[in-house]
Amino acid sequence: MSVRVEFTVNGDLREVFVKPDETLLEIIRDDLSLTGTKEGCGKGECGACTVILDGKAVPSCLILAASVNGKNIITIEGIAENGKLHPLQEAFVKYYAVQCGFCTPGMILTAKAYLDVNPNPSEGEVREALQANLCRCTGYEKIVEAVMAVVNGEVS
Amino acid sequence: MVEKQTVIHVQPETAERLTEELKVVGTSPEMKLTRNKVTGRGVYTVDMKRPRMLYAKILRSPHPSAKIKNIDTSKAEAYPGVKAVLTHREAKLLYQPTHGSSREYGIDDMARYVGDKVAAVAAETEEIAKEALDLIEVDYEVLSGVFDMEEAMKPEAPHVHPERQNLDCDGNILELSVQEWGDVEQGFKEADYIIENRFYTPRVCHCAMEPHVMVAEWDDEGNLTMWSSEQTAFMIRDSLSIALNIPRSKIRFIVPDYVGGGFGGKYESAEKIVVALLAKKARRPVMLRLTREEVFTSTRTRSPCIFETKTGVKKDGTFVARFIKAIVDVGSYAWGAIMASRAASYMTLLYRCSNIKYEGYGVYTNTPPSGAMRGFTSTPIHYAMEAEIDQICHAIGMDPKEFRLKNRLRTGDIIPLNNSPVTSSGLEECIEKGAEAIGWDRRQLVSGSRGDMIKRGIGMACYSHYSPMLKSTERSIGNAVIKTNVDGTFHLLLGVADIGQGLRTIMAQIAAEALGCSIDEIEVTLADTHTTPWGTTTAASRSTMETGGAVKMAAEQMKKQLIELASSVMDVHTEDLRTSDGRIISLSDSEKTMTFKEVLNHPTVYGRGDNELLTKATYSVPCFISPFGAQFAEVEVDTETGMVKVLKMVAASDVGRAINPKSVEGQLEGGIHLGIGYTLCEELKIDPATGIVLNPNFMDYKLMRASDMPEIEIIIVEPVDPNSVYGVKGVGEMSAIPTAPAVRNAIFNATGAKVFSLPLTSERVLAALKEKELEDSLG
Repeated sequence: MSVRVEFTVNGDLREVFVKPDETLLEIIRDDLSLTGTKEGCGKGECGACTVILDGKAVPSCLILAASVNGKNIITIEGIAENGKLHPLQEAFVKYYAVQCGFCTPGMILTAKAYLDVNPNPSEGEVREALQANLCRCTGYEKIVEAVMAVVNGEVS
Repeated sequence: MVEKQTVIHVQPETAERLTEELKVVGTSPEMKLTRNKVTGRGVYTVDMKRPRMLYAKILRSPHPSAKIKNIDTSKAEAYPGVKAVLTHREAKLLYQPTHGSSREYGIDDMARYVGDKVAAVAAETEEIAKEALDLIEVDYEVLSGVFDMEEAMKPEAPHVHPERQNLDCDGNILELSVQEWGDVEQGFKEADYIIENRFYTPRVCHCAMEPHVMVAEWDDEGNLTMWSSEQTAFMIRDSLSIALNIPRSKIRFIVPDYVGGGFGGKYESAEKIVVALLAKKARRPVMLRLTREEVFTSTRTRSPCIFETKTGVKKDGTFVARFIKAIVDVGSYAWGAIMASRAASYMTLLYRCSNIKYEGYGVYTNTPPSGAMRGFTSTPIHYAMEAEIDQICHAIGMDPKEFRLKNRLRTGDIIPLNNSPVTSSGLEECIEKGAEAIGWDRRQLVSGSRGDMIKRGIGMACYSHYSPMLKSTERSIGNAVIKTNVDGTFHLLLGVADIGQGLRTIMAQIAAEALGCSIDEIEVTLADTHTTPWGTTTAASRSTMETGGAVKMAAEQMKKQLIELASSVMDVHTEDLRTSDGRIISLSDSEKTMTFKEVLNHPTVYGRGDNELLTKATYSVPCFISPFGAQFAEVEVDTETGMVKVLKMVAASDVGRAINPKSVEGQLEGGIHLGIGYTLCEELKIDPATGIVLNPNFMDYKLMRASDMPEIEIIIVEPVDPNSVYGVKGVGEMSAIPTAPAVRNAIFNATGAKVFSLPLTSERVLAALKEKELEDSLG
């Protein structure tokens, strides 16, 4: 049994037939081949699979695909514009905020969803905002630095 | 054959540091492939799809110790969508781990821990494979298991490896290592003070964000290709070649350009045999991706350890005798005779002491397997050694910083372990600069301050490490191949893997420096057994030293060839030519210049077919090169709850020379993350009655999050070692090593509470505070 679901991904309207127990993560990776969204735990505990759903950063592994009908989803593939990286992407490159890169898409999308609503946070607030996203490589130092560089307008 | 005598250069600590004019080394250019990581373009192993690819699942033992009496797979095989099922009947192939003397099987007819492999299924989807696992009927003969390392040492304990008795283990003792330098008994006789303690360090997991994943595919001519999220291509290929009994040339093992972290957890798994055999049986490509729960329960972990320490010092704080008995729980599978013996090294690398003895036991238990993890065997014993020092200082009334400065090894001192000298040391500078950054001078003021319940304190710890590997059979060797394109660009081919730490960029920087061009002109191909020269593991903080040395040599040879060609084309003597910015320039007449491209395209060159030049170099690290460092922590302890908050960490590291300073900072910051987790909150818990892992997820196995981290200050100290390529030392593991004792010593400074077991949970800190109170009340 499958359900027809229609939603917008990175500006494109997509139609997918999903099983009732399929997660948004599975649809994004397997059906839409948007493999920039990563699976780190499958239980909503690490943040690697974060996407932006109607403006909110959510772990896509916990969202049932059948529930996203009519919604708007942004994945890591959808935030650069005409080949120009989003300022957060640019800052992550410039400030060495990326090592293995597996947490990076989720980290950037969490930061984006947060900054879209709170453009002028303190460093402490940024750290709080990122706490659903685990990184084992960087100690978060350069990630926070990159986000703060965007906040402070040092990267555009 | 007589080995060539190696000349070891020792750099006096007061010497002027080597200065060279460097253009690319010492800078922090944009890291290669990072753009693909921020846009989601990078293809990790788990993102791969091969035509007609199947998915595998592993049936895992629910029992900590059991013989497989019978296993019936007929229902699973008949299940729609299932393409292959594998049991010990086909997969009991002996697998030799990349290091040490141990052996294990693809799938054995005995399970040795809860989560051990019993059978495997390949099917059209993961879901089908998972459903098919439930249809496999296993008749287990359940045996009693042993989960505690000290219990396991007793003669009556059940054997984890009954069939390996008299082969490589005795009872459950995999390894007994006694190493002595000097005469420790005599040393204790000379001591004014003797102190004894017992420390415990926990089992922890690497927690690379990308779970282990691999793909195997055969063609119809018997060629196997594997892609895997891995820290080495060649060593796994070599293990597979032996296990599968096929020539190395028939196995192409590729570590993809994108690997989601390693930390020591990704260069071992007999699962690769299973996946290769499944793919062969199904005649289709097979992917196995472990769930996070499997990563926790069924991949290698850092061994829990018990350290019983006994240390003798003179009144003035001079070390006279050091003894450590170590018990290392190696779990159900391990590398073999390296798990316990290696730790002895660290007793000899950091401080002067004439009498040192180590007695180490590697002990099997029916718990998850063990292996390397950032600071392999070094991080646990450093905790015991460096915590012990602060107990000594407390007993003799000496400043812990002064104690360390007094006893530290100096350059020129002979390291007892390998009779080679300390060739350079930035340790004193690390200690002094780190102390200044943390505010060591205000330590007495800070100690215990900030109100009644909250106490502050400052602590420190030092490290050295065993990198490069220069003992026993492991040689410290790197290989590199460089070839040109006609347009003057280069390909650098290396057998080692980039697991996220940035090796690809670092190697390009070394090549660019030596060639005289930009890193944009150099593309790097890594860790593919069919196209790159042999490479070792990306581990032990070794790649920059070993492979970097080979890269420099190959690049210098390439430069020489380019200059020779240019000399003939330009009619200028080779002595008069140098390279810079992708050009060859005459020293005497700077008007005479050609780009690499022009040289390679010159009709006389092109006509000879020399437009693709190729050089290969093998480099051997000439001597032991000691990395050193000091780490400082300021903490706040809530004496009512036992909660510890680390406010600041300062990591001052002697890295020889930072090829890429930003990357060095990143390594040290990341090491602190892993180190603080080890100190405060990480522990893989095993139920002592059943052997079941109790916390195989990120809710119950706590990693530090962004908001939990302290302020971090990194200090890079660069004495520039005279023996290594551009003076580098290893850096990848270093800051993970002294973090725990620095924090522990800060807690001791804050409260006087002596904690010995990691992690320093509030329960443990509270118990130590109570004990301290009791001691105080008894006077």
